[in-house]
Amino acid sequence: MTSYTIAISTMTLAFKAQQVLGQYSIPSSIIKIDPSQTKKGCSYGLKMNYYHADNAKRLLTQNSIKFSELLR
Amino acid sequence: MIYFDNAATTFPKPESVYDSVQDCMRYYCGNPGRSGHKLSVAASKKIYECRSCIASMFHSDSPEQVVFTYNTTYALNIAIKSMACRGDHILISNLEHNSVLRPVNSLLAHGISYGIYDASYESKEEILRSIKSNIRPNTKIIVAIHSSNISPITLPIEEIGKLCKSRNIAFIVDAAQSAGTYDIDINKCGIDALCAPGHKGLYGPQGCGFILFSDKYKDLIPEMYLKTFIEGGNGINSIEKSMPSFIPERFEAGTLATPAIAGLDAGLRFVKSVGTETIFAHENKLRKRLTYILSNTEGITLYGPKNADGGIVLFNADNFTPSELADELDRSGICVRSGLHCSPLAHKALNTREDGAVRVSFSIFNNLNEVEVFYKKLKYILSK
Repeated sequence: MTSYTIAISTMTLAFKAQQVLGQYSIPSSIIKIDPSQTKKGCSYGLKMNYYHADNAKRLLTQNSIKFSELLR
Repeated sequence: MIYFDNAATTFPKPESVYDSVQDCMRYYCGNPGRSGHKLSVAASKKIYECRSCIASMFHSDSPEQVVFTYNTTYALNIAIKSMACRGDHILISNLEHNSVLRPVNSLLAHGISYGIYDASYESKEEILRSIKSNIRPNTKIIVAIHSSNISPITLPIEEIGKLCKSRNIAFIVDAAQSAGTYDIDINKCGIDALCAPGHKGLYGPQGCGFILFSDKYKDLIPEMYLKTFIEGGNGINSIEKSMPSFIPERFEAGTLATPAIAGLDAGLRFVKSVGTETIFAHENKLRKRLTYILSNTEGITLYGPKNADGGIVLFNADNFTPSELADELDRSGICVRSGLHCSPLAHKALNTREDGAVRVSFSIFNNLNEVEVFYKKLKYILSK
């Protein structure tokens, strides 16, 4: 299974995002993203099955949750 | 022992609060928002749950608008000082605690002035009239204590919020005494920043308070508006030299008080399960009984409006200073607070003695029997 990680700047928003995705039965786990993978240093991400990635991005956008990049 | 000093901090706490603090300390007290390991994520999760609980209690859909602080004083300092700019004028009520008076007074040195409106009227219209007559063209912030910490006086925050909105003035509410006993709707009341403690009416531990910012403050340019005065690490954007531009992390530098927040989460759930209306009615019932007894006791002076509802009784007794009486009560096993209660403005408004008065304040854990015991002991002290 290939996993996708959506990068989110803060733990607070990562939990909010996880809650939103959970409401649509998209399971995800919160991970810390290596600072070398972002431009600003430490941030967090939601790791999920790649199958859910497009749907997840759409739902986060709908809920005004900003995500900065998508890491494979 | 009878504890009647709940306006200072509620005691005891619900069992669930003790359990929650202990569980956190024992099983998952990692540093929240710093690492990716299980303990750190578990601590972060509890903090997010508490943010969600706070947001829903005050009718906000945005847990991320909750900023944790150490207490209400920190919350009010952050709210006031982050919004005020040189040349601005701030209006505060004559019932404010020093947690408002001192911050606005300190801003005089930064070119920010303040005025005081009279909130000691019994009619909403009179209070609103006083606010309107004190608004200046450069008034940018109005602060209102929702419930006084020395008397059962409640300000009409919904009406003040509407007035603020119509004049494009930011509205900051000090809910130190009302969070947990009133159903406060941040949107309906037009509140920009709601400041509250965790350890009073929400039955959490000391060491946590919060600001709930309105959604209006989600997409501002913070460099132009919400200033920080505490900076430091918070686990995100570590390469950048300035604080993040968004709430809550903009105002949360350093490690949060996770055990206290875990306790607050349990306290909030307790309040929700009992209901703010039930808690208010219970405290008010005790206040009514004590007010009735004291108003029929010779040598007792009661302060504040006679027909107001709440959970506080303020009084003095002839031939005793407030601190002498509080000491005597303490020796009799009763905890009350005497003096000015950090609210010299409010004491002046209520025309108490120069050295203040004695305050009795209730919680859901007090009962009518304690009120009767209190009165018997008070009568004995007065007769000596």
